[in-house]
Amino acid sequence: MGAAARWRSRGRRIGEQWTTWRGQWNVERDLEAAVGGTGPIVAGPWLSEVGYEVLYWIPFLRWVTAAYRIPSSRIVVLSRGGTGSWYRDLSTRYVEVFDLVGPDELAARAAGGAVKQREVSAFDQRLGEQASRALGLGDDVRMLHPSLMFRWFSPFWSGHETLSFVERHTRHVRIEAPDATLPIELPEEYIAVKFYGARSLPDEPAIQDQLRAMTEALSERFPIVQLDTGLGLDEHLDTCVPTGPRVGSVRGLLTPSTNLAVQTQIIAGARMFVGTCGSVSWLAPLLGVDTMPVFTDASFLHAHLHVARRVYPRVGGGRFSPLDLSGLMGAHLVVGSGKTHGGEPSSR
Amino acid sequence: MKIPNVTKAALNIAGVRLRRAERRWRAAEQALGRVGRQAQRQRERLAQAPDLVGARVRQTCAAIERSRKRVVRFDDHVLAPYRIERRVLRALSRETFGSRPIIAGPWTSEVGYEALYWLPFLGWAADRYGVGPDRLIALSRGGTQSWYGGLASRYVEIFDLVEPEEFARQGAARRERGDQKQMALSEFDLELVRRATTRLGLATGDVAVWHPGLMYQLFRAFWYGDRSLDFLLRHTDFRRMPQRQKASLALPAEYVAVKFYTGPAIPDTAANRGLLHDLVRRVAAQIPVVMLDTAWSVDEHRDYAFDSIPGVTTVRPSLDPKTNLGLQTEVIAGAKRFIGTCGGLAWLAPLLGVDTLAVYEDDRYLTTHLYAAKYAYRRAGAARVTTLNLKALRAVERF
Repeated sequence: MGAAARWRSRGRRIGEQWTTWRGQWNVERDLEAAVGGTGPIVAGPWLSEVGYEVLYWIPFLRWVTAAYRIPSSRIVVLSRGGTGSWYRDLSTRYVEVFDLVGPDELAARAAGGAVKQREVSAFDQRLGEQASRALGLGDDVRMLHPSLMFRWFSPFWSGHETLSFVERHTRHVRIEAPDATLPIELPEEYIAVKFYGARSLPDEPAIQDQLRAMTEALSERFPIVQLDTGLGLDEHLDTCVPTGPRVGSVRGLLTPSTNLAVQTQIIAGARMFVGTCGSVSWLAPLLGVDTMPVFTDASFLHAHLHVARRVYPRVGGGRFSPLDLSGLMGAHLVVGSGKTHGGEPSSR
Repeated sequence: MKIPNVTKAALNIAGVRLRRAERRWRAAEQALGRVGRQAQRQRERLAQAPDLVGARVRQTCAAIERSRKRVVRFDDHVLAPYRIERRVLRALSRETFGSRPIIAGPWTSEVGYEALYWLPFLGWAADRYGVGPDRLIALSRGGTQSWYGGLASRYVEIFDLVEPEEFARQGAARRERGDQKQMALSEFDLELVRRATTRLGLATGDVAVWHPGLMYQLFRAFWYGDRSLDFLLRHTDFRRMPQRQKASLALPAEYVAVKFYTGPAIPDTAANRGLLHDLVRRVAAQIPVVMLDTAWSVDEHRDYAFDSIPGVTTVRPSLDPKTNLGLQTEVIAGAKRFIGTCGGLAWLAPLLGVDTLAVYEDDRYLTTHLYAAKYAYRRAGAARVTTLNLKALRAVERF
């Protein structure tokens, strides 16, 4: 590398570093503005994925409250699906988003691509105002919006920030199960399963075969409780695995406003959780449940898997054993069936 | 009846004075009340003074302690890695000065770190400091000359300098000293450098050394989470290895290369043996399997051997310490797929263009390497590396 190229590269690097730092200072400034004063703080509204919520948002809120010495009496959580128990150590005041807007409106937003809350939208603003009106919080209400967290950690997700940066700005702890009313009678021992089509586990026939074989193998050991909500609240569609006497499902039994609370309680009581790598599979270890997240494409998961592998053992969470099906499928092995399937040309 | 103006004026003046006096009286009353209340507050403060002072002192102490911890954390996580980086870059620069040949090595630690970090690090350093292959001499073991192709024009085999038993003994001694990695230039490393220079017909002072410790020191902060992935990628040059000839051994036309060894990633337990045996059996049912197990070991790892399974052959008889890694590389390069313990050659195979299934049971020591490898290999256009978690497999497999 020539000297000129080296200096250009250094200049570019310094520029990138400067951009990262400037972004972080802006977030810090906005964060201080959001938590200043003595009035109530609406933390939310959280409308993005469950994974980001449990792996980053809630631990980030814990750090914010500790770092800025915010009493829990000031915090009002605004989330959806009955997730109040996830925030129990942060605040007892919880406002359910589905009490403020209909599921159709939220589903339409998700379908429109507004999944990650990288900025405060007019919709979020409206939800915040509705929540403060519902609780009669007065005029001096501030909003601690998820966009702060997304902006804060995005350099890590893009590889420009360190893992210790994430660790320094989060506080991960175990989560307790809620006390929700269950719509089904659960077996004494069971495995909770939730598969849905996602970029990490596409809804393709070969993958369906693997999931079917896996579910069958699991159901031979313990009854299965499938967490296919059928609510269609986001862009992911639940994958149906075969039903049978040892496979139960909550399909059609859940309401939007409590669906995550019920799923949390079912997972918390399970011997094991198996599901698409994403969503509640990031939550299950924090409930102390052994978890097997399944994926075939980890392109967008590396950073999250890295965090998860570091965090769960430290908080005494359930065993986190990711299963990359693509390796097995590449070797033409069907997981769970103890056999192979054709495809690899053999020279023998 | 009319009141004379003088009387009216007098009454007005009296009224004004009366109201003024009233206001003053009220003001005086308020002032007195204020003074009273202030006195009361002062009395209360005085009564609570010891508690208040105690609380203030405690708060100040806590703030000082917090600040001290922040400074220590900042030093540990931010400044120390920068200091180390400067030190390493200065050392590299110092050793590069002039036109002396540079010995890259001696590499005496794990294969995995050599493939995943040392070779890309050397590639970056050679590029940054303008060191051509004619100046660089690779000093490694096991016939890994081909790994350094394009980087170093000369290669010295460590097993030409010391016996494998002595090498293993020194490695064990290093591990006992708590230095699993080659963090610093040891006496043994120095001796290897001396012997290598003698073998090359050079005097010790005629060569510079790029010791693996430089790489270990630089990337340790990344492994501990104090440096970003971007930092690693900025100090490495991941490249696919050039196409090489097929192994000189008699091998099937198409096969899967398999190498499982014991270690923290796959502890030697009956359950793991059973799972791996079954995995190899299932693969061998479709395509011939060539096992890369060796009959000896120069480190703490032991190879699993499954050559009793139909369809499985082993290259064990053909391997000797001096050439074993080179030969295993050739076998892997000709394979349709590589399946092995996550670590060691599993980090090399994707760079040879061979899809790899890296198997582990415990990922405690693998998380950072998996994170790095998945990103770096994708950028380098290497073959796919996927993982298989035995714990997950055990949960769903029927045995």
